Amino acid sequence: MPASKARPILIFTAVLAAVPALAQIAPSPATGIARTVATTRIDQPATLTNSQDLAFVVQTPVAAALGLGQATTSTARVTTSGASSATAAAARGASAPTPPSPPAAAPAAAPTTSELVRGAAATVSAAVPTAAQATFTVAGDGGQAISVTVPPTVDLARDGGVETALLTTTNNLAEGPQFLGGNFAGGGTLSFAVGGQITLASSTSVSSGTYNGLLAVVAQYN
Amino acid sequence: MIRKIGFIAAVAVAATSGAAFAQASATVSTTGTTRILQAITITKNSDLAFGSIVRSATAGTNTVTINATTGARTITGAGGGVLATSTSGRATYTVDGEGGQTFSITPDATFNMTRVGGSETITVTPTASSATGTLSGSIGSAGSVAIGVGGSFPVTNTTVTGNYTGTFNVVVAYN
Repeated sequence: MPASKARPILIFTAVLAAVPALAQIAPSPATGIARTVATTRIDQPATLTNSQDLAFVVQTPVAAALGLGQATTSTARVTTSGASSATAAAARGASAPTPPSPPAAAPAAAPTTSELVRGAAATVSAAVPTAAQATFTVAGDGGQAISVTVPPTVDLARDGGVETALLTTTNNLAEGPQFLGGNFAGGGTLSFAVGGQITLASSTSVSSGTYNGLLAVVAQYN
Repeated sequence: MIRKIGFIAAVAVAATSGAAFAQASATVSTTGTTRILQAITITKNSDLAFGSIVRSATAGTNTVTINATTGARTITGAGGGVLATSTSGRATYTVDGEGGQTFSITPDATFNMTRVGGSETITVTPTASSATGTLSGSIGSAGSVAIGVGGSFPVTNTTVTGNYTGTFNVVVAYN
């Protein structure tokens, strides 16, 4: 057979072979096809490390010893930078930012005023260890948004007793979403601190001792 | 005598003519039927989103699953992976066609999701809410029905972190 006649036959064969392939790509009216996108994101585990606890040291506010004749409240604060301060106020609402002078009749109480000199791991004690803020570091995927939850209050309980003190927390986290530093390809961290304040009534209602509580901070990816 | 002969002749004629008709033609009644259906189509309403998963910090494998019917997301297995708060959901579709007709639902057996900016893959096994479906209504009118597709994939403590994406097909066909 001449070559010029064989060529059309070969082409025709190729067309026939392509028909089944086309049928697979283009659905017939008896079938329908939908293409769908699937997505996910895999994160490395986030870790939350507490490198320093929150500590208050309170020198006993002996209102009774001061002979004030009325109850007072004292507030000790530790800021998120670790600075401590204290104020005192009459329970009736009269402000007493300046601690009253100790009465001469009670010199033993001299070092103690209604001012809480330094704040305690809710320690109400004559001992004065260094007050400190709690510090935390979250580590995980860089650039990722996370949520950090710090409880607004923590109950502290006296060791060996049943008395409690309420710690109201503060923190230095920015408003809105938190982000780990860096980018997704590498790890990122976020550090923050928690401070707080404790308000105690006069010493007549406060038992000295060491008070402890658990400050549970939670961080999670958004 | 004449009367008898006439009777015999009449009988003979009738018998002869009957045999001749049976040999010449035959008739049978037959029914022809068909069913005309409008084309079946499937329209995607939402994609399949597994959301964010935090892989295990220690050796172990978890399986992340999106339920094809409810869209609920779960994680199972011996690994310590957890589901991070995020948006997730099954893929949803609307199938249209001839009312009352049944059809098959066939997603790809497996497909890969590839890490964005990388080459790592995760193999996903999609699952349809049902192997078959039935269009609403009855023949002679249009029908439709909603279906869903979920799926599952494994994640280990060595799965490379990042965003993954992939595509798959779902085919519906009249039974």
